[in-house]
Amino acid sequence: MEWISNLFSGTALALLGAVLATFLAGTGSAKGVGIAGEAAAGVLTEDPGKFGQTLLLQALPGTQGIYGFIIAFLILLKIGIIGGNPVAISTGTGFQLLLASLPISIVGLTSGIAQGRASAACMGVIAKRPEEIGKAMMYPAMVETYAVLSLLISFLMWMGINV
Amino acid sequence: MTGSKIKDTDYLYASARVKSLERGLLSRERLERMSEAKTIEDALKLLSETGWPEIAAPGMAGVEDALSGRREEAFTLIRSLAPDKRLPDVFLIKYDYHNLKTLLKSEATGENPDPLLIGAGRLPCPELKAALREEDFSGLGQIMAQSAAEARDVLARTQDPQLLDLILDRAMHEEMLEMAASLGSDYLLGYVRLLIDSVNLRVAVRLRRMGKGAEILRYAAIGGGTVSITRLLGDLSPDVIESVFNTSALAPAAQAGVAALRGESGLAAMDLACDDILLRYLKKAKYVAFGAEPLIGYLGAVEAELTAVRTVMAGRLAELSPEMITERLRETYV
Repeated sequence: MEWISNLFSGTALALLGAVLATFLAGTGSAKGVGIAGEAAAGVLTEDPGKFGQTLLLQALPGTQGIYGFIIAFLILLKIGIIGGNPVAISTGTGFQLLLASLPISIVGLTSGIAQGRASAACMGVIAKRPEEIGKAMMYPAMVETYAVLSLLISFLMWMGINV
Repeated sequence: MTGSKIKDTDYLYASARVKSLERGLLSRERLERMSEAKTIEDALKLLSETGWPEIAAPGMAGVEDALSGRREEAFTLIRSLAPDKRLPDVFLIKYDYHNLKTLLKSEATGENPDPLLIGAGRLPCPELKAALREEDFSGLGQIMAQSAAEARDVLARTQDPQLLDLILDRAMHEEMLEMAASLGSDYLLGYVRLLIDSVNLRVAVRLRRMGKGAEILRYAAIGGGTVSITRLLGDLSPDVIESVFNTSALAPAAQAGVAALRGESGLAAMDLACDDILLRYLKKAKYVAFGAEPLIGYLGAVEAELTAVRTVMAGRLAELSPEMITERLRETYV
């Protein structure tokens, strides 16, 4: 039953954490940016002059993927996958790293989609009152708070885990 | 989109595009300026500034051409944008029934129906003509086919074109209701139900004004609205009309209708109130970021705009005063 012990080795669990952070937060951003992009294209068809404003709104849900990438990168760094010297870590430590990835993984997924919808809704504001871009950006930006908070918690957990 | 439920995110592109287009709709202020413009040419210039085509011949024919062009453009666009291509049909059914009425009446009178036909419906006029000529209603849909046969029969027996109108109006609203329900939009269904209420109110008030009894309402009333009109079937007095509608959204229109029955004002005030209430319902779509609502609202807004332009231009051509034109104007979407 070597494969079971391999599956639950510290390194495998830590890698799973990195995978989730990249995969879930990345999916959240991909969906969010996609949602906002579809709406942006609708505005652009009628008024190509609004490219800059719509691009700004579309970019907002893109950060979750970056946050997930940061945490995944830090985990890989800690276990030595990056750098070419894998560190042998205990199952307990691996599990801790997996847990540390979860805040940004899950919140990244949900907030990315939610932010995409808020951005798409604000495309309607840009369509009608482009001068209100400053105010319109605030609504999707509020969603960012929770992605940042989860990134922070993931990061603090990562910092405190010693290998 | 067959097989899967349409989600609001399927309307992202369409809603954003329609919201951009809403900026091009005529505002009340511009319509008033058109009514007050010094010459008809000035009024048409105000129109072309907002993206309308230039209307060269300042007569009603040129205006009507421009109006049908705008209608065609808007409906084609929404049909291309909507995940369910039947979405605009709810607004087009009335043209089919208008054509059907015209053709059936012309059969009885022998007059040429062509000038009165409107080519905007779902069914092309030649197809409708052929269906009636060959008595093959299979292409019309079940409700329309049934009502066409019934209406033709009733007209032949009674020679009463009013009965034909009542039968076909009822069938039309029934079909609109069925279509709205099958499209799965509560907003659209709510609109059609409110429309049915407004038709029932208008019919009840008009029948009372003509001195007809409540019995004929049994024939004319349309089911499926939000207001139950059973009480009106027994008694068509102004007090009952008012009390039946006073808890509904149409309460102000019902009050205007009752005022008309008491001789305090004209029926135009009630019609205006009905149209304004319907438009205010449509305006709710402005607060929906994406979904079917903005598309449906836009179609309603375009139709309201066409009516407004027709009112203004017909008023101008008839040399009515600006006040007389603006008091006929309905609320606008933007």
